[in-house]
Amino acid sequence: MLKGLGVSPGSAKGKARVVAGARDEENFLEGEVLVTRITDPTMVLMMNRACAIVCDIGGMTSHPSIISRELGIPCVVNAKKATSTLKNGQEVVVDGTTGEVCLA
Amino acid sequence: MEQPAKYAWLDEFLDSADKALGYMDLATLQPTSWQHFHPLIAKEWLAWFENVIDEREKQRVPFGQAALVLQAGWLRTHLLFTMEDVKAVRQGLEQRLKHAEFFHEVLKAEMPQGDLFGLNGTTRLHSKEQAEKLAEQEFQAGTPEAARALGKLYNAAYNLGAGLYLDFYMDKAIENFGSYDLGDGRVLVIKDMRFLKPTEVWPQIGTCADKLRLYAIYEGVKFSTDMIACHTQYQGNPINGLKHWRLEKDGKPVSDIAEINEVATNLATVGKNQWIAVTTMPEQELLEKAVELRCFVFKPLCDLLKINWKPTTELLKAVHGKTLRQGFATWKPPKTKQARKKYWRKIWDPRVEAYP
Repeated sequence: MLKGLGVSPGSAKGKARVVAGARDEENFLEGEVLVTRITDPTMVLMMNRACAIVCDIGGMTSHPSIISRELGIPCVVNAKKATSTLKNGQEVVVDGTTGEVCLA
Repeated sequence: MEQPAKYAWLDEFLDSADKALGYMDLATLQPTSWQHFHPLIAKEWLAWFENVIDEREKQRVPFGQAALVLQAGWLRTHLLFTMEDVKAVRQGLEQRLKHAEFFHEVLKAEMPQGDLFGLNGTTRLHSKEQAEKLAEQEFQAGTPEAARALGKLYNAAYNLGAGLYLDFYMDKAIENFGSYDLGDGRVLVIKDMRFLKPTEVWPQIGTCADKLRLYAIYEGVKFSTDMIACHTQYQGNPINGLKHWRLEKDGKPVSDIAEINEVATNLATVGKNQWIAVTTMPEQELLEKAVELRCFVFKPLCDLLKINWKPTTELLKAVHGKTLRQGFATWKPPKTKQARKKYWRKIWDPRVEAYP
């Protein structure tokens, strides 16, 4: 479905939640996949609850990449159109090793 | 013009800078990048900084003493920043090398184990013997639950660091040391999270701790950073691979996971609010704050020299009426990746007469 750069290895399945900023925090559920253009420090509590992270932009040492490695959750960056392709509630599998994001 | 062999170390610095910046997507830096901000103050900053390094020389403070208060991570990144500054204002060769040499001498004093610029993925302040001694302290047994709690804590501090010091001075708050080989496939990594309550620059900051230090012993995990010491990378599983850990909060050991979670929540919440404050600041105010933060990075050295760390009036005035967009217009990097790489390497090399 999407191919980006896998920056934190492992695979996780969860419901996608497209996030724009701090205002999405109360809707973000434990175990969801955080989908955003690029993470920032307003999303830290959501990142802590996420089972995986997918971003439109980013590189090996970008914010989401470093954070996800510390949390031990899969992360794909530079997926380009993640925020416009993925819809809230869609069940997806994120592979942080290959950089692939697929519908479950 | 041929340069003396004594500056050959610059090649290692340039290789490391290439590698670190090559991994970065600079478009992700928020709310701005150093390449937007620094050109606006390059001339005045260099005057401020030169006063500091001249004062060290005048007072005959050894580089080794300066190394005790200046962290390796800052020195590496500020060497890069300063090399851009000296080119932006077209300083002469002698001055450029003088600035570069200051950073190099302090780094040499700080890291006798080598890899001064992190080219080989290490930041080692401690000798093998010192690292082994540190590993003899009282540690807690590693579990996935503890590893996740510590990961959340580190992340909270990391995010707070970005809000306190902007994306590009955040190694003031976060620095990782190691990895130190302990034998039998085990490595020690030290994660410093500090200057988390800098009331001198953010008087209202409500952080519950100023300094956290995490000692982590991993098994079957390779750990590395690059020139930027907060750029952590792992090979292997750092959650299952965490075998022992020790956390110190403002110098006192903390072993209760509930307390760690509490600290992490405090740092994350303060960090979130701090980030919102920084990213919604009017541009002029942000620029002035960035000037103050750049000086604050060097406060420990100024304190050592007993000189005022605060920005001079000239330095603060340098940003008046200017915009970040103007600053970025200083640079003229080519469009193709390879040409761009060459462009920056020449800019960062003080030996080369190449200017933006």
